[in-house]
Amino acid sequence: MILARHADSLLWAGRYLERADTIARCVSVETNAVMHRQATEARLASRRLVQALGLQDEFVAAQVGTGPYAVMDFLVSDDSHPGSVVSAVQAVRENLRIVRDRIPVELWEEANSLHILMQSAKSVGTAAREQTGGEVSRMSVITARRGCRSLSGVMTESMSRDEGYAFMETGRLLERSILTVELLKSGLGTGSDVFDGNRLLAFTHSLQAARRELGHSPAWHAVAKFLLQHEHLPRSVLWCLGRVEERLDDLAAAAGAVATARRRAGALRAHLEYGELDHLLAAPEAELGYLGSALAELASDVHASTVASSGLAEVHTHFVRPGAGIGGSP
Amino acid sequence: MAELRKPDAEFPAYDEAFDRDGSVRPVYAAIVKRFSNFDTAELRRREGIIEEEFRRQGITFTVYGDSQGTERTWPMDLFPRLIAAAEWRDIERGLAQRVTALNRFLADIYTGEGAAMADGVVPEWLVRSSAGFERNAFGVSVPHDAHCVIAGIDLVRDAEGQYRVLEDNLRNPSGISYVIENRAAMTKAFPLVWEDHTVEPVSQYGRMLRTALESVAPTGSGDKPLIVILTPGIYNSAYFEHAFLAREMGVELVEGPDLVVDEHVVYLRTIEGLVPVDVIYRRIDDSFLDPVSFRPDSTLGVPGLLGAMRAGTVTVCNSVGNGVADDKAVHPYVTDLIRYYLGEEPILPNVETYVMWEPDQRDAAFERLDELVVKPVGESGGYGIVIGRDATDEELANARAEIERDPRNWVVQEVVELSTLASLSDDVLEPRHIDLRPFVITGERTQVFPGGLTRVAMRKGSLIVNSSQGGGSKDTWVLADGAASGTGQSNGPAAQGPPR
Repeated sequence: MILARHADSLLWAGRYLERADTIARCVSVETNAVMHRQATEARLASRRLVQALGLQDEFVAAQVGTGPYAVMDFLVSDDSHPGSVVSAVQAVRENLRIVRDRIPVELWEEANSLHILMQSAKSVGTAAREQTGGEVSRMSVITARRGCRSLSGVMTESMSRDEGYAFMETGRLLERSILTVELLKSGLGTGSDVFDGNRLLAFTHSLQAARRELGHSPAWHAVAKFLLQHEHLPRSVLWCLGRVEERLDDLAAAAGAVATARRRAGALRAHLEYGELDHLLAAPEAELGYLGSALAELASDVHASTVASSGLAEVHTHFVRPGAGIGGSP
Repeated sequence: MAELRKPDAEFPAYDEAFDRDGSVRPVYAAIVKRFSNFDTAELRRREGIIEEEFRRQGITFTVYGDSQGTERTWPMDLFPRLIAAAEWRDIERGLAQRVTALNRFLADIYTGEGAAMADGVVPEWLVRSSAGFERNAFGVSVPHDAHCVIAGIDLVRDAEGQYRVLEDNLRNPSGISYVIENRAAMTKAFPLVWEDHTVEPVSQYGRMLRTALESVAPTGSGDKPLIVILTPGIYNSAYFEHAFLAREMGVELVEGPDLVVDEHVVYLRTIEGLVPVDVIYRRIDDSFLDPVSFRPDSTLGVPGLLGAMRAGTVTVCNSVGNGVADDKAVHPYVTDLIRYYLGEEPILPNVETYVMWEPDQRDAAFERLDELVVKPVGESGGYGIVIGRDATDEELANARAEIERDPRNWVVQEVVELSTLASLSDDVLEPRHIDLRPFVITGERTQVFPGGLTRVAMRKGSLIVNSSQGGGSKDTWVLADGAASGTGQSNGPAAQGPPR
């Protein structure tokens, strides 16, 4: 048995965990790639990451400084918007705090420790961080990545496979799929703002796996097929959807309301598994647009299933849930 | 080595560790010897371990209106408080006796004949005028008359070493989680101090409370009643404790909107739909419990909850209206209530308290107000208290005027020179004032949890121990029989540390 509200918190804890992990990874990849270039070029490079993550509006609103590391700082340590690593980690921690009585103690403690570390970097202040040449934010990225790995590990190894786990895992898989589709979009087109295939693979933690299958300089098309359709890669959208179906099956006995989400997940999985992707990707914008909105609807169905059975309308009116931002929200 | 300061010879308070001529009391011999071997840096290092442990685990409490943000790490002093087995047995008997009588009193008021009032033990008007008196509670009965399942009784020790009851907390006493976490932290920071002592464990609280809550479930709940803890949410000062208790008991932690009442039955909103609830351990105040019967603006409570209680489909713990029995103006009558209901002499005396509507008591109190303590009956957490000897003439005059305006609203107590115990302050271990809040659990029977929360005033000479006002806490050890060797020698391989 699980409270509808707790199910919802775990769903969002999973989503934010994946989001924190992915943003931190992207920043780290991008920073390493441009580290030896000149500062202005580094700044330009991080600007396109802001775009790829769908944070342009937040970027403008935050009035980010002109220093070479200000953009990275915006993505890592700026908690004025929900798309930063520090904000996502805070959201993981707040959601797990709501359910801290039912999750393994270690899971809560890891989230709390990571939050404390990220906050201490944040409290250094923008100007001071800038003076360190981005050092503080770079260290924060390392901390965040290690912390996220540790959280995933505790989650996988010590959480009982109950309804709570099913919701948290579903949250992670959906967020991962949504972000993969978003990032793929940033490889479309031509010009200096477009990421090449290798960069996209690195963003999605798939570079090593892809090198064996696709060689060293894969084209966007091959990368897209790899990231959408791979059967055995835990980063591919097809793989994620297969797991989402399993988790929703786990929940079906308890919550009849997951049926809608279950149908949509199955349909989307079948689309990727049996669809003629070469043909579909002939019009890549349209296909990615379709996948993006279908995933957002699926996420919204899962969220709705936590509340439908109990008639719980919106219990979170008193609780500010950060992050209506990137890649779909309830 | 860190200096372990003895209390000044002329200091009036009772010191727990040292007697009047400065020798170590036997029960503290081993621990004093241990601590004398640590230098200040070592103590600070271990203090760091404890603080880091609390911070990492998010063991915090909230100070309202604090600009530092809402959560503050729980403060714990390193030097433990020890209570000898025989001494504890008396306290235990005294507490069980007191809480039993208080539960009888509550049942008498709300579901009985009002016998104590009819027989003149407590004035009827005093009961009726109490802010904690609740008309809505009439006719709401609780199995075993356990109106107060969880009580926290604040004890202080006077200059002669006599334990006295300062206050009863029969509504929502908090602090038990810190008792258990203090022990865990102490075990991590001082793994070897246990060699010299056998200490009563504290890890059984979850089981003890769950058993009590199960025993008050309405008849017809089945053998596994559904129990929930009702919290106001993550911004409440005691949220950590609410989550802790849910985890320790293995029950759901719910907020008001998670519950719904239909046809006088309380249901839990789960992903499977609505599931009926048998017992609610609520950690929100009476007035927020049910917007239908109490404050209509409450969003924390559950509409219709009181109707369900009245229908007997759910038990709410602690029950509604308990505030009448821990009203500070009713406190002076509790010893008579013990005699009245139980026909026994009270084992634990009260702190001497004067009521202000009796002209004799008031006049006597006014004459020596600068030696006494003035307390508003409706406040808690140490707020609104005037300590006569520290007050200016103007403050005392104000207090007199306030009392004359509304005598029902004030009590005046003798100053108790709270006992002291060595606590780490700057670079020395120095005596600081302490009190003790033991917890008493009532289900089928009344049981006292070993030890309790020792609170310590970290400022020298201060008598205010409340954590909201800068107080700290101490791990509190109830020693098992024959455990204090008094020699500092190990008890050998049979000696046991706490189980967690």
